[in-house]
Amino acid sequence: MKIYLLMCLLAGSILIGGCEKALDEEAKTFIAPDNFFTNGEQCTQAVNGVYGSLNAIYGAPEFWRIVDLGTDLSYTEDANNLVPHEYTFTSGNTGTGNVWSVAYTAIKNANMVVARVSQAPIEEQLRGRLVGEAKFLRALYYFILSNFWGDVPVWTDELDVNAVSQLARTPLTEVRAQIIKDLSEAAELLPLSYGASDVGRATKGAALALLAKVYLYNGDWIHAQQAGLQVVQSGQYSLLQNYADVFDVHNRSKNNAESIFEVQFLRDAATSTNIKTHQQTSYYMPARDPGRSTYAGVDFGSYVIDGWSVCRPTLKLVRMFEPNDQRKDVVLGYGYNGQTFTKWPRPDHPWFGSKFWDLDANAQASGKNLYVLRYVDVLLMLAEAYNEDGNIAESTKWLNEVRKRAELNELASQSQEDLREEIMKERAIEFAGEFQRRWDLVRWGKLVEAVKSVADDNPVGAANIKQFHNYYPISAEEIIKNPNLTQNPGY
Amino acid sequence: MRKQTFECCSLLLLLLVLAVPTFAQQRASIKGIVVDTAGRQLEGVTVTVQLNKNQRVKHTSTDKQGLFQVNDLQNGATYMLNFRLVGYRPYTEEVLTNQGSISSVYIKLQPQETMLDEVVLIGYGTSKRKDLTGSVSTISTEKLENLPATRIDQMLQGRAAGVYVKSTNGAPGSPTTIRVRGSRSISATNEPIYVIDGIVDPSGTNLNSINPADIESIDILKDASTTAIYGSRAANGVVLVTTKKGKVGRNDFRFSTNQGVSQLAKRPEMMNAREFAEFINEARVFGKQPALYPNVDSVINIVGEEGTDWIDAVTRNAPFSSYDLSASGGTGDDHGYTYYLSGNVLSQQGIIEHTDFKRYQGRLNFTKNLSSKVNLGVNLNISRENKKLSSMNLGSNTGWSSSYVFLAPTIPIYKADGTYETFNPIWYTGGHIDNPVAIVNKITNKQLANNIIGNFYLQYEPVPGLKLKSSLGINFINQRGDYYSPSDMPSKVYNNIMYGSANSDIYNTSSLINENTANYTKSFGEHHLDFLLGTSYQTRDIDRLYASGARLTNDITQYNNLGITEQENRGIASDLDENTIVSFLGRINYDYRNRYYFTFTGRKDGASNFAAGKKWGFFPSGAVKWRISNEPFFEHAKIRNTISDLSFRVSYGLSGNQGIANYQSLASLSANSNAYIFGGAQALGYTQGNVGNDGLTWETTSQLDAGLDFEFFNGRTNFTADYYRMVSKDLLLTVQIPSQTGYGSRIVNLGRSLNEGFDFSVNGDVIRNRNFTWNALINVSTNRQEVTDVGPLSRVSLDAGIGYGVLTSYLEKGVPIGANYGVEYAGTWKSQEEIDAELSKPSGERTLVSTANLYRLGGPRYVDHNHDGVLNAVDYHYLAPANPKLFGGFGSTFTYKRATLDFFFQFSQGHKMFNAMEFFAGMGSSLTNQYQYMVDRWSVDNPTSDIPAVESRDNIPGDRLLHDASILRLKSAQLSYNLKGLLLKQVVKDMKVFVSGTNLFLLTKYNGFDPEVNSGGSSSTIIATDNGNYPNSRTITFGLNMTF
Repeated sequence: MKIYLLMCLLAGSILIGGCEKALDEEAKTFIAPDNFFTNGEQCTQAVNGVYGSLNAIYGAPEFWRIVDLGTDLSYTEDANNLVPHEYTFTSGNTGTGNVWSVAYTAIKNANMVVARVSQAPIEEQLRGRLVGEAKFLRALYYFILSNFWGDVPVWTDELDVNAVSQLARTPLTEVRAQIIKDLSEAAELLPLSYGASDVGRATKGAALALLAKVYLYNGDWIHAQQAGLQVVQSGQYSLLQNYADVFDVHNRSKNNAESIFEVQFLRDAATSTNIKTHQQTSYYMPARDPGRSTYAGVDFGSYVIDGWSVCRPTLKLVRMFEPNDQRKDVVLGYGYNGQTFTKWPRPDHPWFGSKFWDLDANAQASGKNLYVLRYVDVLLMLAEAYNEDGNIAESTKWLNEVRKRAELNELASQSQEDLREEIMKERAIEFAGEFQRRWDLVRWGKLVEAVKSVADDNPVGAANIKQFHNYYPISAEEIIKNPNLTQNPGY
Repeated sequence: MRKQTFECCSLLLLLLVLAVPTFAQQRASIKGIVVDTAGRQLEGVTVTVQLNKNQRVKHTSTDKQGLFQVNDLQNGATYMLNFRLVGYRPYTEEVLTNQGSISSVYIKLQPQETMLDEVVLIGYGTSKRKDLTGSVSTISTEKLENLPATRIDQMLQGRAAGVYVKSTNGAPGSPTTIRVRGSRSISATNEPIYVIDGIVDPSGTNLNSINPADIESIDILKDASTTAIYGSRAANGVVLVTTKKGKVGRNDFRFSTNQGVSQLAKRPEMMNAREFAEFINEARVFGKQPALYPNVDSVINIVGEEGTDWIDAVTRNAPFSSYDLSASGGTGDDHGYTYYLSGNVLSQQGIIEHTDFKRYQGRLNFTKNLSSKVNLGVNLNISRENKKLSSMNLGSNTGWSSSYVFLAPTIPIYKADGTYETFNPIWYTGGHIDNPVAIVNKITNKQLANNIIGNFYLQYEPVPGLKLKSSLGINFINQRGDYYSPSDMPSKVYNNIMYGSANSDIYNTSSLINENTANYTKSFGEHHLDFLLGTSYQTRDIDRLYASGARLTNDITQYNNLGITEQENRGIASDLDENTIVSFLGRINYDYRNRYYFTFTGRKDGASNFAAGKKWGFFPSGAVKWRISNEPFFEHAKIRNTISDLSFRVSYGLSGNQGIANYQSLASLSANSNAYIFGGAQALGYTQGNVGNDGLTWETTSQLDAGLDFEFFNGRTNFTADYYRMVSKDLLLTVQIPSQTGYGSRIVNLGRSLNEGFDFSVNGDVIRNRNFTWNALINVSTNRQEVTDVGPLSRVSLDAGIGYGVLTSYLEKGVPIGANYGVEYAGTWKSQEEIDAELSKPSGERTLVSTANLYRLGGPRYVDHNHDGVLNAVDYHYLAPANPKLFGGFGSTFTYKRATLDFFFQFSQGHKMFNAMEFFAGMGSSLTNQYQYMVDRWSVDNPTSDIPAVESRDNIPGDRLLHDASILRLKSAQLSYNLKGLLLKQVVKDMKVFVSGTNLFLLTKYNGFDPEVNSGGSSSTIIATDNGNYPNSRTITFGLNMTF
């Protein structure tokens, strides 16, 4: 003790103010959560952070692979993309990339926003809107997780690391219940639309449309109809006249009247500045001619993309289109600007079409927005919900709205079975490559059948697929880290 | 001249002594004076006088003037006079006595060369090696002199027992990875701390600023007894660097120069153009695509049989040049001073084109006695370093599309029109790149650093034995990095987006250290006591300012005028990092009759980077030593003639590790100015950043050390052996946590690790003749380490950064830190029947597995480790350690007349390393060139091969790609010739010419550039990954040094 006293005396000349104070760690380069959420701007910025994970999920190749490859609409020959396509994924190589961790990162951020913004001393209306946005996003992230893995751990409070680390998987019905709760609350809090500088934020329509979809997944036809009708009755949305305009190759169709919620990307083509980009277009372009700047023999002008041409349409998709379907030349690629492709992926197979092209892209970077919810989805959801509920007339009415835009004849009344087939086919064509097919097939219980139906284009996948492939395996690493997680059956 | 003055004085004194009349009538006397080589009188020299072996011995010692006298001796007898003084060679003189008169002698003692008398730095003090209670390796820089090195640590490989030094890469001025007695931490650093002339430099950032020629010695503290004085930062050992001081009584000017050349020492054997063309055609056809080169000869006609050798194209023979000039000297009375003033210009070009390291450096070391009680000193080092770095990909796994290892030899460097070829036909279906030659020629990537290290001290000795010392150290570093990619980079030309892009990154470091110590030394008879008390206060802040500009429309202004870029093309960042450590330290040394030694050390440290209330730690240690050779029974034992000194020591204590980044205990929000897009514009967003941890504190290592020190034949040979066992607990561990929390990992105090091993070193003169001497040294160390607790997790994956999901390292109980994981390679599938037979077994009975798409002829297969019938990360298991089990070095110095030959080998054994390049280039991937051995791949024509067929890349860490990283390296050799006295005798005191070289010869089974690299860089756990490193070079220089 005496020695310490002596030491302290010795040190006294230097340590003015005491030893302890000299060691206080003062954060000058970052902000602690406790010092934030004090005004509207800060709360808005915290919500912005929750949106950021959308780019990381929808912009990742793994996401396109695990929802679009390995269905009956597209196939690949690219060795790097075979795992989901050929149904060879295992708990060691799930093929799902970062979807699990990015979605939970977003949920963690959303939980903090909900907890802290609810208590923030800011204007009531803004607070409601921000909490609504966070709840919508949280619901969307849980929706994505549950579609891939079924039962997933659910937590909604601000992070307690030790508790959340041990959470077991919540049954799918409860996950959906949480999603429905968040979306219902969000629909109450969110505005119908935003001013120009806030375009891209979640709206009441987005919450209702997603709500309708979750009800549909639950087989809750009545609630699905109600939510869908609310979207229609909001008067905010309409179909664009041309299907091609929904997917403009120069990105002029962003946030159009048909769009309910889309993931925002941005690239300034004029200055070739990549602000927030993805590479989806490089996955869907025709193969580039070796050593040349043409693609399957067609000159796209100054367009330069180092593409991989990973995804190709199956013959089944090609044959689904009725004659005169306005969408065929948009979904499928036979040529560009008057030129016809001179090479094809396989005999009788076209390439994927302009729906997926971004002629303002450069190298692999594309600033094309990716749709999460389009108005046409609401119409098809209504058609499905009424058909399943036995209301053929109402169902046909909604389906014909969609067919009308595709310049197809209106369908007459038919049996529930036949109409169901028509709706399923319509969804396949309308949403090809829009991250819907796998989830639709799974909820209809038709994934195995569908993959086996394209055995010509995907023989390995057709041979490998089993019922348990409806859900992806949980990464073995995650189970090691949290032994309370159980594996999906079959893996 | 000063020396001569001294000698004159001494002679005068002797004359005076002789002139004193004596009155001894019958008996004879001997008197004399003892001086050192500089002519200074030596006090306290023990003089023993003996007639013959059976006679009684008379003792005396010299006084302050170096005088002694022995009376009452027989007349006309020949006496043996023995002179002994610590630090000097014992000396014997025969003297014939005359009746009634006094025989006089003039004795000059030579400095002792025995290791036991050398002064060892122990932190806040010094010790004689023979009095040392702890384990310290001392490296004299004498043998490192004249070797071409930019940093002293580059020359330490194999030099010190228990200290494993590994270069991280071969770029000029690149640092090393040093492990003192193994690795123990997982998330915190495993590097030792550096103390340069008393200034603690935790990460050794200043080593580039210090001229190796200015360094007098390096002492590495290894056991807890010696390291505990540095407390919280010392668990990984302490490297004490001492620079040269002026010597009293001399005035020397020294000049030396070293000129030479470096070249690529070893390279991987890749396919030539023809081999590659045949390979890629086979791969394309396998992939149901047309052959890339339908006519192989036509491409050979363009690029030649060998094709483009990309490694050759960007490497060169690079000159090395260094000039040193120094002046030193001093006078030695109560107002005396010493000075050492030096300057150094060094230029080392890198073996990769347009890379280099240049240093301009000056040093002043000055000491001054203000009175007999007060002295002060200054050490000042100023340097400016310029580095040009390579922007080229050096062969990393993820850089396959454009690196100089992976590019196809069929791609020419230039197109027919003389511009750079951009087209890489095997980047998937073909893409445009900047080829390595274009990158090294066109991209500017340079770093500049100005560094001032200063240390000022004042010492006051109010009463004899009590020294009060206060010192103030400063270190200011201004560092700036500049990068420019011009508008005419070939890929930009190709894409017609011709803009330049530039950035500048500026760091300012300022650190301050104040230390105050009181040291009291007192002897009571045979009891010797030494107390030390002190305080230390160190603060360091690093600020950063970064700016970038893109879309520059000219190539003239580059990073010099970023303001002319448009607003939206500007990038900016700034940062601040502050750290403070407050410490109290104390040490007691006690010994009785130089036989029994006790040392107690303690340091209490407070560090800012831990959680509030968890900032303080106390690190005590104790040591005992028994110097057996000073026991009476040993003194007279016959063995004394062989073993001249023997001691046994044991120490135990605690030291800490606080080597983690600042602010880790605090929760934070992180901002992203491009979080999302609203209304077609970027929006700022915040997300949760660091997850707070209010329990974060030190990790603590306890270390037991037991050592034996032998000295044979009066210092001709020394042998030291140590055993150590270290247990580290509360490891600062970045624990992988379930991703469902939204985090992948967080840092906590968890886990334990164990290190144990032996250090041996032997050093001695094998032959010691008049004309020929042979001095040899060997040191050998063993190390065994394991993680003994990683908490509830069964194992944690550590990402070695290879990419594409290749995981080669895990943390697991019972396995060394950073160990190599993977599966056993089991050759290739030779027939479809074989595959079908395997797949038809129930999955639990399968023994051989492949990834799903490689169950095909020639596909690589592996042993199914967990017997579940599938191949995945669960099968990965511990294969081999990354740290050597045995390492060390041996060398010899031969001196024949004026010529000296010195060489030094370093070795390491028992560790393995993955060659990350082979995940593409050894697996038949059609995306890259291949190792030459892939010529013998499995194919229809070569159906018995166990080398995988084309397109077998599976990202599986099979042990086929895990190589023995053992080495035997001729680290350095030097042949010098001493011209002293042959030329310009009047002016030149000393002169040597020499030829020297480093990294001259390497024996290894490793198939990459060099196993002594580490892509993990500063990672504390990953120590053996070869994933794109600047290759090591061999350097040969010749030079001259002379002293006036």
